[in-house]
Amino acid sequence: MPEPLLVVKDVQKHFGGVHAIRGCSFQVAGKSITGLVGPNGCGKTTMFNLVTGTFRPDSGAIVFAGRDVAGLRPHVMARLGVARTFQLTRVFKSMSILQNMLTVPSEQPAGERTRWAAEVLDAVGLAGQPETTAGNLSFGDQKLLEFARIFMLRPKLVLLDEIFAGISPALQERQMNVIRDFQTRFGVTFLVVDHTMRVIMNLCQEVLVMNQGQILARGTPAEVSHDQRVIEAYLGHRTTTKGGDNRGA
Amino acid sequence: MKNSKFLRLAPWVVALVALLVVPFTASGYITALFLSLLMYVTLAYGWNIISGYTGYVSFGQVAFFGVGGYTCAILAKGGVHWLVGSLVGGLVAGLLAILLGLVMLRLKGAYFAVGMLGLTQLFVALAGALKRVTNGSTGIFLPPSLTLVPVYLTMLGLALAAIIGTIFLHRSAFGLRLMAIREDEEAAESLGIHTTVYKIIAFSISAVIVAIAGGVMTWYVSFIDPQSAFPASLNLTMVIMAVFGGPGTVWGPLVGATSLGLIAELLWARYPGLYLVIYGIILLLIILYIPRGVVPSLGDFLRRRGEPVRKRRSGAVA
Amino acid sequence: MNTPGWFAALLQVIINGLLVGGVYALSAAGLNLVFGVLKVANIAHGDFMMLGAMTAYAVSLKLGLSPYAAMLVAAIVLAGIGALTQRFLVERVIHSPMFVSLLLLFAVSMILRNGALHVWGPTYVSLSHDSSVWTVGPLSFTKLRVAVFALGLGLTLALLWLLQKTAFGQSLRATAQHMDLAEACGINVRRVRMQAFALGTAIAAMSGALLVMLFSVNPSMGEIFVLKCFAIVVVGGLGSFSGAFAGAMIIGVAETLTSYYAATQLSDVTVFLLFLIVLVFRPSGVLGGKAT
Repeated sequence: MPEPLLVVKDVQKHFGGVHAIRGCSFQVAGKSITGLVGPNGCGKTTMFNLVTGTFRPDSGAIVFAGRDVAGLRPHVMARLGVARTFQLTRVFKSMSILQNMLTVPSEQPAGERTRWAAEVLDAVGLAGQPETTAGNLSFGDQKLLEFARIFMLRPKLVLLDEIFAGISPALQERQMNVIRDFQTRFGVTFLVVDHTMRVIMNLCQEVLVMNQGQILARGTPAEVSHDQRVIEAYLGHRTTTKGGDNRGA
Repeated sequence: MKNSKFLRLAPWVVALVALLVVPFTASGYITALFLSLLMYVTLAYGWNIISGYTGYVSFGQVAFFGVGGYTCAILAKGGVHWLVGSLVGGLVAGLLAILLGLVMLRLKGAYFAVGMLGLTQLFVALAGALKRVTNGSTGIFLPPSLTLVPVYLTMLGLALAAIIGTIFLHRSAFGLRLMAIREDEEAAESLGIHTTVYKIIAFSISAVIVAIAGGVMTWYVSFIDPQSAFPASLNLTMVIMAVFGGPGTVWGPLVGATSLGLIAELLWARYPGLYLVIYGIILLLIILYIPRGVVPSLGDFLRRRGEPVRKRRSGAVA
Repeated sequence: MNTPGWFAALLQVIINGLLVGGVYALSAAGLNLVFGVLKVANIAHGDFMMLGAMTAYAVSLKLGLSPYAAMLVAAIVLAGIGALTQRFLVERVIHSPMFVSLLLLFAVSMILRNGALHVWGPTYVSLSHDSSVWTVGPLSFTKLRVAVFALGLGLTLALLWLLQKTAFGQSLRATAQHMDLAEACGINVRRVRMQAFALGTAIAAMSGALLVMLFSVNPSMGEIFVLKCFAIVVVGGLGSFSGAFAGAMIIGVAETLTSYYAATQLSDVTVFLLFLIVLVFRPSGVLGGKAT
C-alpha cells in the first residue's frame, strides 16, 4: 500500500441549516488516479472546496503530504501543490493562451516557465496558436486550457471537477492520456470527479463513492459498480428517514 | 532594425519635446490647459491600475486626491517645499490605501463601488471635522505660486511615470495577475495568486499616483477646503476618461484623457452648470456603444480590415 | 415611578430613530426589489429618491396639492422615468458584467443629480412644518413623524402583499429566482424587469416625498441616501425584506443616537461604518443565518 498523499478524516461542514458533509473520511494514495463519484448534490464539489481551501471545515482533519491543511487559504493550497479545475470553465477570457499559462506564479526563472508552458500546451494539443485569445476558443479548447494551466503549478495533487463533461469522446481520450502521462512521468496524483462512467472505469485505479456527505463505498471500479449500496444510492431505492443515522444497508 | 525602432520612437520624442517647450513659449492660458490635460492623464492612469486592470471599479479614488492635497497644504504651510509635500502626500496616501484596502478590497462588485463612494464622503466629513489639522470648512490658504513652470514640469513627469509604469505593468507577470483577478478572482486564487496582496498593491499604487497629483494641484491653486479637496467632477472625469479610452489597456487612459480633457475644458468654460450632466451623458453613450473603449474597439476594427479572417481552430464540439 | 431624565432622553432618541426608520425601510425595499429581479445594484437609487422629493415639493407648491397627494404624483412621474431608464438604458446592459451596469447607473446618477442642481439650485427645501406633538409621559411623538412612519410602514407592507399575494408579484419573484426558467415558463421577463425597476423608482420617489416632509433636502441628497439604503440592505441581508426592515430600524436609531450624543455631521459616518463592519464581518447580514 503506497503512502497516502491526502487524508481526510471525519470532516463536517454545515451551511446554515444544511448538513453538507457529515463525517467524511477517505484517503488518496500518492501517484494514483482516484475517482470520486456519487449522485448530484452528494457533496463532491463541496469536498473539493474543502480540500482546496475555498471552505473551512467545521471539524475534522485534512492532511496533505503529512501536514494538516484544514482551513488554509486557496492560494496557499495551490502553492503547496494542490491544484483544481472548476465545474464551469474558468479561463481568463480576455488573455491569450500563453498569458493564461504564465499568470500562474512560480519560483522558476522565466525561460524555464515558458518552456514548461509550451510542453504542457503541446501535451494537451493546444500548442498551435499560443497568442489566441482564450475567450475565442471553443468550449472544448477552453476546458483543455484550464486543464493545462494547473500544471504550471507543478502540482502534486490535482482535483478535476467534471472536466470530461460535454466534450467529445476523442477529446476525452486525449485528456485521459495526458492524465496517465503526467501520473507516470511526474508522479502527479489525481482525484477525479465525473459522471462519465466510461472515463471513471477506464482511468481510475480506485473509486470512492459519496452519498449524502459521506463515503459510502470504496474499491476498484469493478467492485464499486457491483456494490448494492452504490446502486441503491444512484437509483434512490432507499427510503430516507429523518436523522439519517440508522440507514439499513 | 535600429532604424525602425528609431522611427517608432520618433513621434514620442517629438511630442515630449513639444510638451517640454510649452510652458516656456506658450501663453499662460495654453500652459494651464496643458497642465489640466496632464492632470487628467495622470488621474486616468491612476484609476486604470485598480479599476481597469483589477476590475474593482472605484467611484472614490478622488479620496486620495484630497489626502495628497491636504498633506501637501499642511506641510507647505509648515515651510516644507511643495514638491516634497506632494511626494509625502503620495506616501501617506499609499500607506493609507494599504490599511483601507485590507477592508475595502474584501468588498466585491457593487459593494466596493458603493463603499468607495461612502469612503469619499467619510473623508469630506473628516476634513470638515478635524478643524485643528485641516482648518475645517475655512480651508487652508497657501502663498500663490508665481510661476507655472515647476508645477507643469512636475505634472508632466508624473504623467510620464504613470504611462511608462503602465507599459511595464502591462507586460509584467504582476500585471497579468491583476488581469487574472479581474477576469476571475476565485480561479486566480486557486492558481496560487495571493489575490489580496495583489489587489492592495494595485490599490496603493493607484492612490500614490492620484495623491501626488492632488498635492501638485493644491499648490497650483494655492487653496484647499473639504469641497475643493474631493471634487465630484474629478471623481467622475477620471472614470469617464479611462472608460472612454479603454479600461485595462496601456493607451486607453491617454486617448481618453486627452480627447475628453479638451472637451472638458471647453464645456467647463461654456456650461459650468451643465457640464457634469453632459459628462454623464457621454459616459452613458460610451457604455452603450463602445463598452470596451476606443482603443480596443479601434484595434479590432483595424485588424479586421487589415487581414483576412483567420481560420478558426476547429474545436472538439462540432 | 419616576423615569430618570437620561433614560427618557435615550428612549426619546431611540423612538425618533425608529420613526425615521419607517421611511428608510420603504426606500430600502425598493432597492432590494430592483436588485432581486434585475440583479443590478442601483447606485442611482438615492437620486431617484431626490427626484421624488423635489417633484413632490414642486407639485405641492405649484398646484397647491397636499404633501400626500404630491407623493402620489411623484410616484407616478418617477415610475415613468424609471420605466424609461430601464427600457432604454439598463435593459441594454442586463447581460453584461456587473461593472457595466454599475458604470451606467453611476452615469445616470450624475445626470440626475447635476441636472437637478442645475434646475433647482443647491438650496434646501422642505414641505411641511407641522410640529404638533402627542405627549405620553415624558415622551413626545411628533404627529407628522408618526404619520410618515405609518405611511412608510403601510407602503412597505403593501409592497410585500403585492409581491406575495398577487399574480404580478409572483411573476416578479419567479424572475428574481431564476430568470431563464421564468422565461421558459412564459413570463415576459423583459417586461417584468421594466415593471420591477419602475416600481423600485416609484418606491424611491415615495420615500423621498415622505422625507421632504420631515427634513430639508436638496438635489445632492442622493449621494448620502444611496449609501444609507445600501447600508440598510447590507445590515439586513441582501434580498431579505424583513431583514431590510430591521436594518432600517437599526440605521435609523444608530444615526439619531450619533446626532444626539456626538454630532450631527457624524451620523453619516456611523452609517458608513455600520455598512463596512457588517459587510466585512457578516456578509450575510445581521439577521441572515444562511450563507449561500
